[in-house]
Amino acid sequence: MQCRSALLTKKINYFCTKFRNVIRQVIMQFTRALFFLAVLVLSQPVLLNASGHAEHAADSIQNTPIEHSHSEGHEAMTMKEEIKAHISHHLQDSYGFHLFTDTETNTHYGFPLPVILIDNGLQIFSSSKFHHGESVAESNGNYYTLYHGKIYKTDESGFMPMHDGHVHNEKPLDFSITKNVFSIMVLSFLLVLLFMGAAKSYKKSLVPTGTARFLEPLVIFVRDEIAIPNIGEKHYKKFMSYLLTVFFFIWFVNLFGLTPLGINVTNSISVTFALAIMTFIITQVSGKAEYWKHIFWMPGVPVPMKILLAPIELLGIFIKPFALLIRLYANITAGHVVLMSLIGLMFIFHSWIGSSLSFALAVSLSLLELLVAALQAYIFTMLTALYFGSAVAEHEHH
Amino acid sequence: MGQLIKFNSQIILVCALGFIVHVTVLQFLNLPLFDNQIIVAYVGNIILAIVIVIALLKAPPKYQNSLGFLFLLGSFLKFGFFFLVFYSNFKANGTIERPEFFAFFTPYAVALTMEAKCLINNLSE
Repeated sequence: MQCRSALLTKKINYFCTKFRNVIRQVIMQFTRALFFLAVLVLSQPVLLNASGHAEHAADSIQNTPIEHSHSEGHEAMTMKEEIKAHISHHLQDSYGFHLFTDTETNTHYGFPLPVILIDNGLQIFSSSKFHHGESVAESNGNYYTLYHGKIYKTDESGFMPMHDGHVHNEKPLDFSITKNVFSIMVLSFLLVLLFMGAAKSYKKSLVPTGTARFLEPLVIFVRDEIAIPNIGEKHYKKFMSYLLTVFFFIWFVNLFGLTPLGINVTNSISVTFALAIMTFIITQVSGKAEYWKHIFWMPGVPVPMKILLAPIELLGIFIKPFALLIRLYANITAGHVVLMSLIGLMFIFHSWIGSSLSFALAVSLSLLELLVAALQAYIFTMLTALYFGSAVAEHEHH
Repeated sequence: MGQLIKFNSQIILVCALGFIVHVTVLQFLNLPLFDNQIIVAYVGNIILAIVIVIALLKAPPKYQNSLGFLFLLGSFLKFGFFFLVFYSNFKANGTIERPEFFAFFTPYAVALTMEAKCLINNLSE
């Protein structure tokens, strides 16, 4: 009897030690990942400061010289305009991956991406042909120019007639691999690699190793805190793959948006629109008869109310994904605008106290954005699960 | 089958009534009666409504849960019909004017209400 209890105690001790080791390793890995992310995020203001300042300096020399004889106010105005232009440039998608500019040699560091147009057949050429919007690109006898980040058809001289302040040149059908498309491809590849690594580790042993140690708690969180409570035990499994994809995609994309690489995927309304469209289609396709009955002829309410509720509910099925896409887009865009504005304030203040305060604020906001990145992924996934849950819910009416 | 015949006769009757009211209003407002492809809009909407209701009534049992989705697909079909047949003509002068809008929207709304009624009956069964 004593021998058996000793054996049991030994076994418990063994498992406790093993479990403690696993937990310790998970915490170590998570801390390492967090440290790496924090370094990247914290370096953003510094790097943006350096490259942004350099770009502004180059622009000032080339385009809008800030004369010292001008008043301080005028200088501030020019600087403000430059910061505004820099922010809107940062928020826009582009045809090349620009990292920074060397102002001394006026060299842009980055790499071009392929431009794919459908105009008199398929036109494929490198975005480097545009020379950062300074040249007209030629492809099979067709001429294209960049104007406000969009490609327009033009002639050899790059003529762009303006009417009422708008360009009326033809816009070819554009399937280019832009910075956002490229970023999505790279991040999707990274996610596939991470999850394949995690899947492989489970083949060896049920105890997660490597990336699986980091991913497993998150997968369990999505399952236990998002999918099951909102969809229900019976139906949640078939939606798990989509929910996990959406959660990790949005989270990773948002996190990479905080690095100085200038990735801004969820800042593009077309990306959030595509995500919302997928949620919308899956919800409607999975909708059971009860779901449709609740939309077109709400049970348990008087007939005049049913008639009143039907168009409202019908509109609701479109408004819900619309709210989803706007929420994600607006939150990320607002975060980037505020962060960039705070960085811009450093140049406006031009004093040790003002610039230091702006820097401190930018760093704090960057840290807050880390939370927002995860929060937005959670909200999108949670609401998606909620819509799926309402589509597959089984009601009992008496 | 009986349900389909009933729906067909109902939609033709209701759309005919709608057409009479529509034309009367146009007459009252001194607007051209048969402009803006009004006949095509009524006939097209009736035909599409019948096609959608056939899809709803004849859907295999495994698609009984997706009747609402079929109804939505039907609405997208109608939007496609609008953009293919009417939009370019309506937009020829730069804007869609009120008589042009109502030439398509009135039969669309009438047919949509009838389809929704049929869908509700089907879901309630």
